[in-house]
Amino acid sequence: MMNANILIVGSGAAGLNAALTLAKKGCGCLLVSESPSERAQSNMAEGGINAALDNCGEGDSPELHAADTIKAGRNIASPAAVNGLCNAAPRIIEELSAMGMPFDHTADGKVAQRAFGGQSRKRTCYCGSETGLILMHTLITMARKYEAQGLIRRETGLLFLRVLTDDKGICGALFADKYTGKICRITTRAVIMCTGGLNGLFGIATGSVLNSGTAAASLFTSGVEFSNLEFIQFHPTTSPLKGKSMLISEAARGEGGILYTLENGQRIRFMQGFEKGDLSPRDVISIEEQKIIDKGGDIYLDLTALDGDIIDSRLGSLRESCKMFLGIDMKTAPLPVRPGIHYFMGGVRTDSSHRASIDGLFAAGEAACIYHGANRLGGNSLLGALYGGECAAYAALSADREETEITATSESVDIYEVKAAAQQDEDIRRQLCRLGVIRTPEVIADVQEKLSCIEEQARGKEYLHSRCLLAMAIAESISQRRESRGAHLRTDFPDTLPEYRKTSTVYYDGVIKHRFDEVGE
Amino acid sequence: MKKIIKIKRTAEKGRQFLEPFLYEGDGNETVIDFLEEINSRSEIVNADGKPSQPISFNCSCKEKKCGACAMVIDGKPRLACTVHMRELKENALIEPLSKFPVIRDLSVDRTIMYNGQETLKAWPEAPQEPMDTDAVRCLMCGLCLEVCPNYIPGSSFTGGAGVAGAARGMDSTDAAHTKDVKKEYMKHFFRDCGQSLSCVRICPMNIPLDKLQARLAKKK
Ligand SMILES: Cc1cc2nc3c(=O)[nH]c(=O)nc-3n(C[C@H](O)[C@H](O)[C@H](O)COP(=O)(O)OP(=O)(O)OC[C@H]3O[C@@H](n4cnc5c(N)ncnc54)[C@H](O)[C@@H]3O)c2cc1C
Ligand code: FES
Repeated sequence: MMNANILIVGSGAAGLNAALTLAKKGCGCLLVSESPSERAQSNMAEGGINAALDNCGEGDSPELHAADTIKAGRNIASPAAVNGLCNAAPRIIEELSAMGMPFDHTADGKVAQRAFGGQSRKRTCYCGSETGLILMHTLITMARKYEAQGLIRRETGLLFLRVLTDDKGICGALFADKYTGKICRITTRAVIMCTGGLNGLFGIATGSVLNSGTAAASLFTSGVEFSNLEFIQFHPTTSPLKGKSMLISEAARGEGGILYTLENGQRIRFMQGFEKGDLSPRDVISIEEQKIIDKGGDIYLDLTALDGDIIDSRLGSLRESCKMFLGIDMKTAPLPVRPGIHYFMGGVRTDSSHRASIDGLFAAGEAACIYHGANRLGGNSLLGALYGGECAAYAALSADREETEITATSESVDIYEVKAAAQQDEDIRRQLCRLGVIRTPEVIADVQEKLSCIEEQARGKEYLHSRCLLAMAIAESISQRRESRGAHLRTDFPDTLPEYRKTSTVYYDGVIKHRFDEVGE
Repeated sequence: MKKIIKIKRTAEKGRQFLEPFLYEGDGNETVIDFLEEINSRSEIVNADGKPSQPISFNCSCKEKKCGACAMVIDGKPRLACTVHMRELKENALIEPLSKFPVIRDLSVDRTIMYNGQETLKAWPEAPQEPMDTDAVRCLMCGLCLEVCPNYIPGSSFTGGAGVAGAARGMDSTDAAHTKDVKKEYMKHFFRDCGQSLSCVRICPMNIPLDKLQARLAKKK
């Protein structure tokens, strides 16, 4: 029975898995995104997905996986949510294998697992260095079956504009139709937001330019609560390209690549004094790198000592990308790298069932804030997207039902104006980018002041204004957390303080309001 | 380095025209960087000094990982994020793919490719064998259909992407499903393929579509 009453916005790993979860329960859904799933950022993931399968015989367990996740997140991710995530991981890998996902295997036929930063065991499952692309093919291929049955209905070319609410909570959402330029209204009582990270707000990130931050900015302006926006993951090995930066996957270090800087012509392996060396958590390495860069030094990632066959078989596509986009062959020369914006730990505030602060609104994947605390472990975000999509789907199933219906209104919208807002906010981007790896009180105060001026000028320009409000919310979250924790490092408060072992929450109610909440159980 | 680059644009009612834009740079930007640079100009003016509108094009990853940016550059269908401006001649032409409906300027509607995958029943039934590791690398960019002499726009011929799709669906443990996919594959690919192998040569992921075809031919 077709029962299309749930709307999913965004069709990356989180959105697709939410749709698949509903379809397997016989519940129909409408999966809407600006671009087809084939273009989503999830396709870009390289390194892998974590699951404590213990295929390397190191005594791994979901408990250890959870402990590593909580530790990397500096104790502000909800233990119950993280336990749920880590317990589900082996099942998720099993289900993906049953759908035909061709994970790399060991000689004895088990799913192979590689080392990833910040983890006590080898637990990252992978498909060469194209895990995301192959995961997405697996999910898309499966979704097609349910599409043919009419259970999943996919619409692309729809850009999310805003949610509609009434006294019962969510009653629908508005989209701009890229093909017709018309506004399209979708009525529904349950919306799952899976619109990915806030890349576009900063301009230069490793991820997809489709994740413009437009959807998050609109939700924020509608009063939806956001959490932990101060935690932005800088990946320690990125290379700047024009208008974005390119990720050199952690797999490169997992396979044996080393980091160094040059001092008087001497190679200094600056991470050697740390417990996990070059495979320390991302925040730790990025901070060390930034200190070197601030003193005028350069950082290199060297893979030249690796066995050429390992590079070909496990890092082949990464090598090709480095040749094409950086003009460097990693087999023969070190790669210049630096910290670059890679992942947003913060996002729509959800409870452990992925419910957001408005009835009927749910969020999953990188758009949501739930599993990663102050710093995300590599390989945990695809897992979080898959598991989160599943949890959000179950939560949405129990929400009020109303037949989902799409109606095009005669009202039209200039889609290029909406998109232009994301391109013309250079002033906002410039300010946000100043809030980098190491944050000083002077810069934080100055950015806040400049953003306030930009906000005044942007009033009346709906899309630009909402982007500015979200940018101010990020700056406010940074300013309010008067400590250093994970990806948030302040020169004026360098210590991690027990009184800040809290989730920060920010929302808009005519003015931007901020509070600290207890970490969920 | 300075050059004039012509871009195929759409005007009212879908009419297409060529508009020249000035490129200035060291040649290391990609075509996508160039298009973004034009759109970010505070006032967009073309090379004739006339005011213009932002250019519509598709792009997501900028790293050859998503297939969004396929277009025809200097006569060759390519992924625009992999083409550097130094490779373009003076007066080079940037056009949308010719075999798909144009939405606006350089962005095209490739829905027909997704529908083709559904026609092929390219999905697993019952637990699936691990999917073919070549077939799962397809970007669904459409370059294979663009260059295929046997693909007539709008037809149900699925091209190279169809070969990859069928391979993903055919490794099912369910023999009846495999047979079904094979039947659709014969109808929507094999029957009309003239073996020009142009798809093999153009595939940006170097998927060995010829070898995949040989493997599918043996499937019952
Ligand atoms: C280069 C790179 C490598 C990575 N490697 C790994 C890895 O190895 N392991 C790992 O676990 N994680 C990795 N990550 C992180 C991971 O890829 C992402 O966090 C994850 O894919 C997010 O999935 P998602 O479904 O939440 O969002 P996405 O895949 O980003 O999908 C977002 C969806 O929302 C749509 N959308 C966005 N805005 C709108 C709007 N306004 N209206 C309509 N639709 C909209 C998009 O079109 C898209 O469909 C990597 C990230 C990058 C950039
Ligand atoms: S933008 Fe993704 S392949 Fe070019």
